Amino acid sequence: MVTVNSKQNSSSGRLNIVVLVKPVPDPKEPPKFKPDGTLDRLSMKLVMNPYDKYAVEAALQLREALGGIVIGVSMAPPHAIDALREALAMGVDEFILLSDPRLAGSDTLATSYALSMVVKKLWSKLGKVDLVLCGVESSDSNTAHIGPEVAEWLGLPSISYVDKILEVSGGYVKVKKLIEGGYMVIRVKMPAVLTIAGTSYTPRIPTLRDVITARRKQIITWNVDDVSIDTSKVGLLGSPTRVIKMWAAEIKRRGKIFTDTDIDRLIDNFLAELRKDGVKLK
Amino acid sequence: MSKIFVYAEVVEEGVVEPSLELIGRARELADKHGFSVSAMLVGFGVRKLADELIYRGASEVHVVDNEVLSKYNLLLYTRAIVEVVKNEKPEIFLFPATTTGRELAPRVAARLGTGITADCTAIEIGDYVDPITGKKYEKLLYQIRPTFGGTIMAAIVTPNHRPQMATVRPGVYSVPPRDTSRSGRIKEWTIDFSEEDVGCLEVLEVKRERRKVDLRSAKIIVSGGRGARPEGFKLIRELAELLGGEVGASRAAVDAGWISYDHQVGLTGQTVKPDIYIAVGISGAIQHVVGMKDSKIIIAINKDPEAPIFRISDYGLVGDLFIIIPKLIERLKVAKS
Amino acid sequence: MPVDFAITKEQEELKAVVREFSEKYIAPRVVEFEEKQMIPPEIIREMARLGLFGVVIPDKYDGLGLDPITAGLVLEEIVRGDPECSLAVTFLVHTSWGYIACKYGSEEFREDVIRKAARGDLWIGIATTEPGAGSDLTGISTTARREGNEYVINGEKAYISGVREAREKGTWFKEGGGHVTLTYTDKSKGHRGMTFFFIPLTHPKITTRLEKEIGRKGWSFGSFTLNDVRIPETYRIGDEGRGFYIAMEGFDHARAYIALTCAVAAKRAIEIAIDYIKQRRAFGQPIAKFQGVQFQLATNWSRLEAAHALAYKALWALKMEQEGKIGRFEVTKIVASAKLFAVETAKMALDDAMRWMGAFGYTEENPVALAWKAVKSYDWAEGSSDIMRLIVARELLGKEYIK
Repeated sequence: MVTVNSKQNSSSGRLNIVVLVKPVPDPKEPPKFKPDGTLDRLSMKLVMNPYDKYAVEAALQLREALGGIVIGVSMAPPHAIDALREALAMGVDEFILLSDPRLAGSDTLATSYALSMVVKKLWSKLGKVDLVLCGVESSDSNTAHIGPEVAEWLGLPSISYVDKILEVSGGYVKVKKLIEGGYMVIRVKMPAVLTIAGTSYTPRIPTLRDVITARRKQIITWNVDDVSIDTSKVGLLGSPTRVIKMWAAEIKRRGKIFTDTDIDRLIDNFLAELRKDGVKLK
Repeated sequence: MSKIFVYAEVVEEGVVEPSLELIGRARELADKHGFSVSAMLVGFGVRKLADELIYRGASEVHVVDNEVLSKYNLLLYTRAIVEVVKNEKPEIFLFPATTTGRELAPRVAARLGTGITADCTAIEIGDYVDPITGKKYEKLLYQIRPTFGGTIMAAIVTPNHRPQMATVRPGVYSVPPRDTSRSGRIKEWTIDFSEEDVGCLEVLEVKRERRKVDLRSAKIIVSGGRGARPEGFKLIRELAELLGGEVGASRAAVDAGWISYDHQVGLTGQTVKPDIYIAVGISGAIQHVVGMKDSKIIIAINKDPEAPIFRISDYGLVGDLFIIIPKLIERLKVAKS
Repeated sequence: MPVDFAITKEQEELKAVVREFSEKYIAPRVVEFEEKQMIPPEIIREMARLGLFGVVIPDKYDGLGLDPITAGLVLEEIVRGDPECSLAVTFLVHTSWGYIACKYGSEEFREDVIRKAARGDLWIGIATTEPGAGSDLTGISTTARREGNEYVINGEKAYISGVREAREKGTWFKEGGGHVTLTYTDKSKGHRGMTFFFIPLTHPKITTRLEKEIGRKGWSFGSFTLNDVRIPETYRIGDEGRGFYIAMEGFDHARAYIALTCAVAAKRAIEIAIDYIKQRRAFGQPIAKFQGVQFQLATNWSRLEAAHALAYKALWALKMEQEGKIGRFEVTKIVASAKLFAVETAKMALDDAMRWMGAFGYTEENPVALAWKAVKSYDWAEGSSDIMRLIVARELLGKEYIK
């Protein structure tokens, strides 16, 4: 193990990077419901949040350029562990899973608090953390809150919607951040939290060897007590917001796909179908 | 009287429309349920925008005007807002779900230790009974939003923490009319910003194109992506004109310089909800889909049968757009006559 | 025969990686393989990076040391992305004959050639067929004569896969490639006088010529002539006189992967055809609603399921042989029946699938047509179907009844 116990020399330029990763139901699959109308999370296959993959890729590229260590962190139930192995296969040095039944039902404030406590513990073990990266949002909750809120708990600056990390030097990181209509170039002092939008990074496909090696790597599991979490601040009761109702959104797509080498016939069939469905193009 | 605060995000041209939309909605809720509406302005040289906010429906505007705030700075803006909130203690605080709002609001919420819901597509005021304690809450903010990539809706409340915060999706509510006869109170705040906070984050460059085309009111949008190429956009324009619609684009097409930013639909473009959205040569990456997935009918034209766009389409035509669109235009012209 | 068809988590993850690669790199360009009659070198390089050329080679030589079943699971994802099968050929020939070359090659050979092969810097093919001899291996004329610590090889091999990719060093593979080649070191001893050699096709004294096969055009196919080609004795694969037996073992490996390739290519083609028949209308309804079509679909699918399962049994048999739990002839029997059944079943299914797709099924852009052409090649490649029949019959009845 490269080890969570080594202390890094801050003047060496090598970076200690933590990447927050969330396991989510595969966004390519439609959601599954239980008979009572609630989401059947256990039956849905879990994968790494696609946005977090971009964050992992960004972290790995930084490590390749400047040296250092990349540690993945996730707050999730134990059965999510396989979805997280992909981060190890991509090249993350170590992975910490924060798992505890007392965390169930946490909203973003509680979750970000819990994650910040993991980062704090890593901080003391490593001596410092230079960057905390995560995807801009998760494909299942889409809040985009975790990055800024974790930064707030840690008392660090944060930048959301980062398109690309441009430069790291002299204790500062320069990034290109997306805004409506364009971008901002911002320089921020490290340590800092960055949420990655995924527009400029292509996550590497792990090699077969990486997959096998990752399988043999241990994912370290911590619970609420290991990181000194105040249980009154997490879980259903520790969350200020409460979901009172969930229902399926009405928009179900018809999914009528037309394939034909004869384009005239393809268009005929398409227009006929539109007519049949009562859809007017004008 | 309980206050609803609305964050007025400022860009060079003034207050952004999404903030005005929220003032309008806040005013509606306030009139119906007995709240007052306050706006929050942060920046440099922004004092003069306060009147506009009053004309749109705010009874009160809190202004933090300081030179260090001339460029957007997350930490300084958070500090300013939190200071005002701690003193004014609003019941509700709404932010537009712009890229700024979606990073500023959660920081403010976390600093205040309160709950926040992201990207609401509806906000209401209502009563709530806690099923466990039986405690009754009146006039809570109902925060309604899509999750799971939009396939599931959730209704959320923040019973015990204040302010109840939410970011609201731009375009869900309409910009309220201007009433220059309205008057209101303007309060200016002086806040100390520490040296450290100022030096931490520095904006080096801002590049922003102003939007001249409003796709949000279009009933039909024909949109082009990376697969369209400049030649494809000629066809797209022709089709859009024939159908009486507007032209949209993915970020890839805009970045490639084939069309201006005004037409961009997506995460950092416009969010649209037309009756018909025709995606041409657009793969369906999540950053684009998020801007058009609430369209009534989605039609996709793409050469790649595995393109993700087909998964969220009502109708999909697999084939070469350069052959399909001209033929489609012909057929539609014939049908017209 | 109690069976467990489940796969391990690790196998699932390996499959997921290859599937991602297949969806991103292969699927968008498949029709191009056929049109341009080559595989884009970038695809080969990415396969090398992923480790797809060292799947069964031991870790000691930079391979992954995985078993044939896992190799099969990985191959499935490649075939699904490329039902036209060129990449399947690239993978399975190198995987099976690379394994054999490693098993029987000298230590120097392994350190030199096998290590490069595992890293994807070098491709390993098979060359037994000649203009005058195919199914009857003993009919070959290529000779190898020992001179000091070298062998001098003369002869001609025909209808060999990968001739161009092995010859053109640097285009697809950094070091080009070579073929495990069957020769006679002592014709008087008959099949006991045959020896295998690894011959690098980059050798200056080799001339090559390409043929135009009708299918799996992405991977080259041609002949090479050896004119006093000298190779070091360290390149001999196995002892002198053992060539025939090593060939039989190598063919079993290749045939097991081929059985899987045919079954999966046909299944994929059926899936494509299913999408088509749901859309395509005739006489007022989608073709999929006609019971006649439904019956053909079900019959073909059921047979393919059997072929698929039998292919995995063949791979399992190879694995058992590696673990010393099963005999050579038992393996040969299972593998031969798997290849025979898979090819026959796949051909029938593809034939039907093409027919449901009508005129469109007859075009070069249609992956179903491409799969049909590819599978047809396995009527004869790496052991013709009739030879498979003789093998199975021999194992069932005994050698005295055959020939």
